[in-house]
Amino acid sequence: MSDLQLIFIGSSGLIVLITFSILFVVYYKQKQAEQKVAIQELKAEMQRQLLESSLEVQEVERRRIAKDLHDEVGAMLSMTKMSFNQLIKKLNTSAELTEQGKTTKEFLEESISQVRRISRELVPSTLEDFGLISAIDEFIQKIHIASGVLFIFNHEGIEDTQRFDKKIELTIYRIAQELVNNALKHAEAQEITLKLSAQARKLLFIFTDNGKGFDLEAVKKDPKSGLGLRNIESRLSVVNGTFTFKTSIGQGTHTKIEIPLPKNES
Amino acid sequence: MNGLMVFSTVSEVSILIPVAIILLRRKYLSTELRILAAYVVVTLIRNIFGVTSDILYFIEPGRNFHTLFYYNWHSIIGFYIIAFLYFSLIHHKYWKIFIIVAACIFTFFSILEIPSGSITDIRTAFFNNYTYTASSLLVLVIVLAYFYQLLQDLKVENITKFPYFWVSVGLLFYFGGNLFVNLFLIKAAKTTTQMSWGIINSALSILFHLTIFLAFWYSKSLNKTQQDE
Repeated sequence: MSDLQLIFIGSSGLIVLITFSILFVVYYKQKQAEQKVAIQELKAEMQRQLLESSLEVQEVERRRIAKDLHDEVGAMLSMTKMSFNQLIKKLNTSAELTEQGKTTKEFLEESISQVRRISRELVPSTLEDFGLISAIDEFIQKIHIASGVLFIFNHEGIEDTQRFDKKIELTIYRIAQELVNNALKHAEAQEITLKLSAQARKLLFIFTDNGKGFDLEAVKKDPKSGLGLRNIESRLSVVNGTFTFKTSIGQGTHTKIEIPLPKNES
Repeated sequence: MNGLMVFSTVSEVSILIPVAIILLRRKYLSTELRILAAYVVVTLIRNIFGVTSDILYFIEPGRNFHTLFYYNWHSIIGFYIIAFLYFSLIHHKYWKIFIIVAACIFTFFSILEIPSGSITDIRTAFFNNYTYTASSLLVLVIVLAYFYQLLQDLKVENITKFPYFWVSVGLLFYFGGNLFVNLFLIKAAKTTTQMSWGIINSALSILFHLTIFLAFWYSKSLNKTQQDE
């Protein structure tokens, strides 16, 4: 074996080692990229679970407050009203006192009615008992009576009694509440359209209003103003939902929400 | 002075590249890089004897200068320093035990060198019989274990700017190449001359010194990585 052959073989050995080093770097970077993706997925999942837990806690707390209001404050007010009725019978002597008594009674009745309303609004019992369609229907009817705003609710292809996953029902109901409140409070809308439809493996919810609209980019930049949109986004992330929001000044708003349905519901 | 000798001298002088960067980066050296710096210093001392011998040979051709003693001791001390370096870098318990066992095995091979006089006689004309091959083999296993650890941990943000990656690559080239030359070429091919071994060894030395240079060059990024962690 000549020196030249030996050097050639030696160089080949060196090339093998260099190749090993290059392959190591490539493989390392590949594994690192895979790890980054896995960590990001894990973080997103953790965030989703945290959000889900916080929403669950929120619902439990709402239920507790509603129960306390209804059972404790509501009952106490009813008892006060009954006691006051007894008292007012004995105040017949003075016309001035009778008038004052009537006014106080009206205040008491108003308070009882408000406590019941708040209690009902805190926990959508219709949603739990009769489902999403009935709950939205009840909600918009109440708003219509109170504000005079015209509502069009279309749920073609979904029966009144059809039920979906509890989390999905609550998400859509709370988002509908948020959007309707925004449309009344900020947009001064006169007509609101809600459309709910079940497509292949997904639930589609479209909300439009004829309010004054707003500058979406400006609202997104303002951390205080964009809170409602971020709430919607957070709620949707729990059920893997997505949404698109379109608006401009004087053009009202258009919100499209898509939520994938679990296999057994699609 | 022939071409091979010049190349060999250049490879020995090339240790000044890492020495220079050590001096420049001395403020940023971690404990492990200080251990590596100790290896560079030991190599520098060996090479001072080697280069001096080359110059003296150039002045007085035909006179025989004895430098093998320093090379033989360098291979022994160098192995312990590298083993200590990786003992600090590797955190897996079993691999740490392996390094201790490897050091013990190496000590046994070093003792075997005593009868030949290669490490006891300053005027020796013999290379160590076992320690070069043993150290190459053991260092390769340790370095591969460290590569495996890097892959398992995946903690290093940018591997190509990680000093210990370059140290390991250099050691892999140097000891892997030398092992290849020692085991498969010189031992197998009886016709091999000193020239082929000298060229390969010198080339590997230059490459090794360059990777050590890179290791110290990236010592700043190591500080950043440690802060991030």
